[in-house]
Amino acid sequence: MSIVTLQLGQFGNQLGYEFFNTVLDDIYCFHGKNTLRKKLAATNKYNYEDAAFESFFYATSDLPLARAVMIDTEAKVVDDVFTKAKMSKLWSYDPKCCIRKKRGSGNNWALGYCMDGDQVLLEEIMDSVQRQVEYCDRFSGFLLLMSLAGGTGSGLGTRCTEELRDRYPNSQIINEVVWPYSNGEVIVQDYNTILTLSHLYKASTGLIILENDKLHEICTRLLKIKNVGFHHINRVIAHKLAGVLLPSTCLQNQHSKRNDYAGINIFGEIGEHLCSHTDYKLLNIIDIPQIPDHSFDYTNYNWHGLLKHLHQMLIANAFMEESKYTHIELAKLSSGLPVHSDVMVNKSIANMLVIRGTEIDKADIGAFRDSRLYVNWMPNSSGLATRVNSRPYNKYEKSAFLLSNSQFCIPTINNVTEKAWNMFANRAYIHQYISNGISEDDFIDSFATAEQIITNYNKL
Amino acid sequence: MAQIKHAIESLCTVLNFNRQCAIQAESFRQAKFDRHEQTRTFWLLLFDSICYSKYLQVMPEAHLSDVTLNLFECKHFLPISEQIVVYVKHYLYSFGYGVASFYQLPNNMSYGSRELLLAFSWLLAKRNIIESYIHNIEDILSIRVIDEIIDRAKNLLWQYGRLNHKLKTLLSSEKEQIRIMHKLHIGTWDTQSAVLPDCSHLSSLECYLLANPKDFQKGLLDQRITYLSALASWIGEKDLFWKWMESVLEEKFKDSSTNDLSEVKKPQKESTITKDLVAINKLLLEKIENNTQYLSRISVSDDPEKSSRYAQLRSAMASRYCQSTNQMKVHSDVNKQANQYILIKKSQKNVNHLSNPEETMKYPIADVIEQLNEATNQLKTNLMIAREKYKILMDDLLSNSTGILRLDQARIYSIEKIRAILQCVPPKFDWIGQGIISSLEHLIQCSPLDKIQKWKKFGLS
Repeated sequence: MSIVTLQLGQFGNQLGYEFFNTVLDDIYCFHGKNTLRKKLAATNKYNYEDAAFESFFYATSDLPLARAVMIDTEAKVVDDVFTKAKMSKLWSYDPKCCIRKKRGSGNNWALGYCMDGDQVLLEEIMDSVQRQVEYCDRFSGFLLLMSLAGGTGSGLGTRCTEELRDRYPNSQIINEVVWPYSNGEVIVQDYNTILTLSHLYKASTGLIILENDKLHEICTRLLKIKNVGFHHINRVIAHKLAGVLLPSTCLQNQHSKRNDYAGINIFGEIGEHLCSHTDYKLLNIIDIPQIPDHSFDYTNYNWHGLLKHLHQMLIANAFMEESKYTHIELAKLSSGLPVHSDVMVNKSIANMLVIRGTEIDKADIGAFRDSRLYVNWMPNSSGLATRVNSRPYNKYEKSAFLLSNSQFCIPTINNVTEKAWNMFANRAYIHQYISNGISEDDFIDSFATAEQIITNYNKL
Repeated sequence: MAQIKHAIESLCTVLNFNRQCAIQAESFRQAKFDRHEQTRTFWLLLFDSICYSKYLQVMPEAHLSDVTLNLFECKHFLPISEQIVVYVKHYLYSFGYGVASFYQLPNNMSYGSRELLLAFSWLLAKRNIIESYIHNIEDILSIRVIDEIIDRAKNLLWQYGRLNHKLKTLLSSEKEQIRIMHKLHIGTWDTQSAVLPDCSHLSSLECYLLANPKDFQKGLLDQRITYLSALASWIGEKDLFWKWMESVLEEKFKDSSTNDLSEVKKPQKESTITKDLVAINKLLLEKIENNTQYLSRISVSDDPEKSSRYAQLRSAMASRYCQSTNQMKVHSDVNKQANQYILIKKSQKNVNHLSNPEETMKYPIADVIEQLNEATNQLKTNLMIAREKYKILMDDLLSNSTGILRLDQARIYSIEKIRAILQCVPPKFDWIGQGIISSLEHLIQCSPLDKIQKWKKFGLS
């Protein structure tokens, strides 16, 4: 399986760099730093490292290259990231797949989306994408990394997604979108968010939404980082993403001797288990544990505690592990007793649980199978897909990730839609969009789509 | 009675709400006068009502077979309308409806609408159908039903999406297979495949075996060896099997003699065995003809004495075989007492009186087979004699000729054969024999053109 990553905009490129680093760190973890290429050549057996490597990299006579296309309207970040990767002496980007333009999008979604009618840029991007796709033996889909606030990531990213859907109708397209800070510095970020969300909803297989606010909080409160920078946040996102996307096997195949890593198609699994209904495409990743570097030595892992916390996080729609949850008992919910009004009950359509680490046999995932977690129309016990890997991941002896399609997104989208609508009611900054080819009707359509998404999820 | 129409109409509305086919007040009126065209309508109405009172839901006609299958296991091949009638009659009887004329109605729904109307009214009164409708009003008014439908639709959409994604995954796997196959073929380009002689690359199986020689040894080779050895042992032991089969057949005849005599008499069998025998006969005749031709061919030589000798031989053989195969019309009949097939052989004299059963001679089949065997043996001995003669002829030729050997070039396909011939050469020509063998060995390795040239040189004069 191979995934072609598109890094869009400043944020997308920085995140991409962190993501590939995380993946490569995980591959190297047990093999020392310079043995990778030799090892790949030497062993015949297709093991975890091979599968992970093949998913995101390909070997060349020089450094391994990431299966990625870097796109930005400004040269600075692309060049920066490119140099940083090359300096690591571990991997690099394909220089032919770095696409940059001289002029930025000025945080204007319309500018990125319409590109001043710049068909050349789009063709250039698509050529690079095709180049990467042709390097893949088994091409499974695209991963687009983008933020929602800026102009390039959101606008150009949306345009690229639509174009990819056109040209590769049978591939999976997963967008990793990062929700802007609620008090972000970009004044039109809510417009950009709504426009991107509504357009992507039609073209994309699934949207993984991670919110800057929550990620920031994870950094400060769980990882105890004092001055949180973008690279900290990016590292957290990369950890979550790689945790889900790196090779893992079906729970049923866990003990089979067959070489299971060869047939994995994680994007196909995500599409099939989580995004089969076209009305529900929003995904969230919650994971456990998240521990600051200095307390690794004092940590004791056990599956029971981890999964219990994760389960509580899912029900209470909490983004991070906390000592005090607003405890919700499933039994109470189903018995129809009045629940405290401000506690939102998080109903899922489907979840994918990825467990990585030792002693997987002792992990009891029964709680996640509970049909009360899922919507009525989900056939029995098909709401949960479990994937496992007995290899410890990224410094953690045991870790669990939950990619979930649930009601988590309602408050977030609601908030943004409201703000954007207020601005739109005053026709604030609209002229900048109109001058770049987006009409008011497009705005209204987007608002309608956003409202529809909220309604759909609310009705679960 | 003026309001009867209104009453019936409201009854119809209630009924129609709870079932799939609609009924009108007019049908009731027509049924009162026993109009045949309403019969089917009322059978269906009765069926729906019974289903409702039993399962509290209306059964679509398509599901009928599921319901009735349990009831009348052997009758599910009946047409659906008859199934309905049987079903209704069965249940009305079990509910205690005792009007005999109702049960005498035909199953094809041809008439009897008045009787059915009466039965329906009895059912309506006895089983409180309308009351049960009233109890279920809450269900009808609640929106749960609609929710269920929406859920089902959503579930279907979800399943459809899953299918779609599965297809995409499948497609990507297929593409991968194509790519890898292409790589494999490019990589093994210019290598002669053992399995596909026209290909100039290796197949995927071959590549796999090359990469995993152990698997080749373990799995495939062993498997094939087992197969081949089984085949070889079968050839050795097939006689045993056929003997055993004979005993099976005997067993069958034994059984049939005690049980059912008519079983044995089957015209197909008779004709096949006759046909077989005739075919065997034909084949034998052809073979004889071929053999005699062959013999005559080899006997054609310069020596008139020899040729006359062969001519005698041929005629003698021909007459011998004519005796055994002449005009053999083989019939088979079943001898019911012995339960054995008997061949009826018609002698030449009786050809014109085939119709006369008394003049046909009866032989058991074993006799005929014996005769045929005898003929074959005779043929074999004749052939042996001919071969001996041929050897003698060769001797004569060799001894008489001054060393010129004219052997058909095509015959030199095996040195051994020539060697066998040369063994008959008198000792004084031994050196010639040695020379012939060595040069023949040489010749076989040469090209045809060379062969001819060398052959020409090989005039031992």
